[in-house]
Amino acid sequence: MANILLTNLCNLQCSYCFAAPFLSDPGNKQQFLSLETFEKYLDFSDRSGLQQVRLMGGEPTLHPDFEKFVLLAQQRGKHVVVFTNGLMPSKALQALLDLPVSECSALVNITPLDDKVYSGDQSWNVGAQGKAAQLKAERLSKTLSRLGLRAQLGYTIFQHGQLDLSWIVEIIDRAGCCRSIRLGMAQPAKNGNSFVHPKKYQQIGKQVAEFTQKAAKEGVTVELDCGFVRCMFSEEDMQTLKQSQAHIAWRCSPVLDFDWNGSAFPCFPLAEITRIEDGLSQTTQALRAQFEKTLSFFRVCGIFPECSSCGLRITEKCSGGCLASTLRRMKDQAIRYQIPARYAAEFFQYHEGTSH
Amino acid sequence: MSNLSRSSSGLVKGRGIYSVRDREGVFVIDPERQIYWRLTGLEADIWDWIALNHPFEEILQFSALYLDLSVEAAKDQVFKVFQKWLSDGILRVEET
Repeated sequence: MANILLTNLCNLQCSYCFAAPFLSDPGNKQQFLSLETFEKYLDFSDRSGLQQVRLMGGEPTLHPDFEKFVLLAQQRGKHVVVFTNGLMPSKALQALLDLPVSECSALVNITPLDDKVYSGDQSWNVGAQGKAAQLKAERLSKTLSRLGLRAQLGYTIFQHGQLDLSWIVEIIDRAGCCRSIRLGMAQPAKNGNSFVHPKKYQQIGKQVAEFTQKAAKEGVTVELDCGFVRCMFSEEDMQTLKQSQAHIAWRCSPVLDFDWNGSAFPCFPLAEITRIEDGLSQTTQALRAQFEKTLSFFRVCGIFPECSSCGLRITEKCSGGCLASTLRRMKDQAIRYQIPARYAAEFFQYHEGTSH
Repeated sequence: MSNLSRSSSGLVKGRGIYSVRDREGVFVIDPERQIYWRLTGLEADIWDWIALNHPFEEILQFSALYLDLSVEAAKDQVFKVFQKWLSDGILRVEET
């Protein structure tokens, strides 16, 4: 799988967004993928044997040529997957509705309904927020109803505390969406975003298990995205997850991303560690191998100090959590250590002696 | 290294080499050279101390306590650790 970013433009400013540092342009410039680069992406997908075209942003539906991208993907016989917040222009929605349900999936992130951008207590939005938030929610609701089974709802856990997600099941029932929810965990980025500190993982784990059980009773399955770790769940929680048929991937194996210039990177927070210019000229297998070669050295650790010696990580039953979160523990500070003069001479004499 | 000035006294770790404290020690990771080291025991403690810029005399004092040695004997151990890091390329000498 490989995602392509259509634009850095987004119509929300979610507090937990971990893509924001990557998407923000120093010159505040809006970036848009060209049709030419998209063709290269399609060639790349063909060459790599990929069946899906995965459109991301920002908010990808804000690209002025969004419909053309969808059409080109369809002409190549690809399944179109769109990562969206659901607040899309009507012509973008129509382009998705024009595709058969079997050829289109919209992963609709509905976390903003729980975030300040909707509840409206952000200072930049004071005054208009109550009404604006209500209008956004109404618009999203209509879009979901029209997308129906094409829409899979996603939620990113970005704060600890009481996790009540039963409202998502209600939305699925009301809008007739796909009966599966994708749960993710907000991970730290350089913009000081909201995220769940690993110290709170066990508390979250219990609530996630309880939610999967409630959802299963309503015929809704839960998929746990990357970032979840085995030790955040008790044995009892694990049993609950199993009975609820939750899909869990104890992995940190990011899907490839391409930006509007065709550069490849493993995921937003890891782009500063490794990225490959002109990645579209390669194959997904070659790119993954190159990224893994660089990143594997960071994977000796995990999000907790205990991870490096944990049997589950060593036997690869758990990845040790999100690598971006692990990197947050790591220090890259320069060290400049002075040995006092009276010891320095002795040390360097020793050093010269042992160097030979 | 024989051309080192005797007045050289700085040990330097540039950016791009990452370190992280784990339950059983310190990992030092050099992604560019694709190599990592796992520092344990005294080595891990010395790493923390130099990262915190503890005075050298204090490092000798702590090491002596840690190893139950005289300060003079501990100094040899600390020198050995520094020497190992230099030869591994974790640190380099800054000539002053």
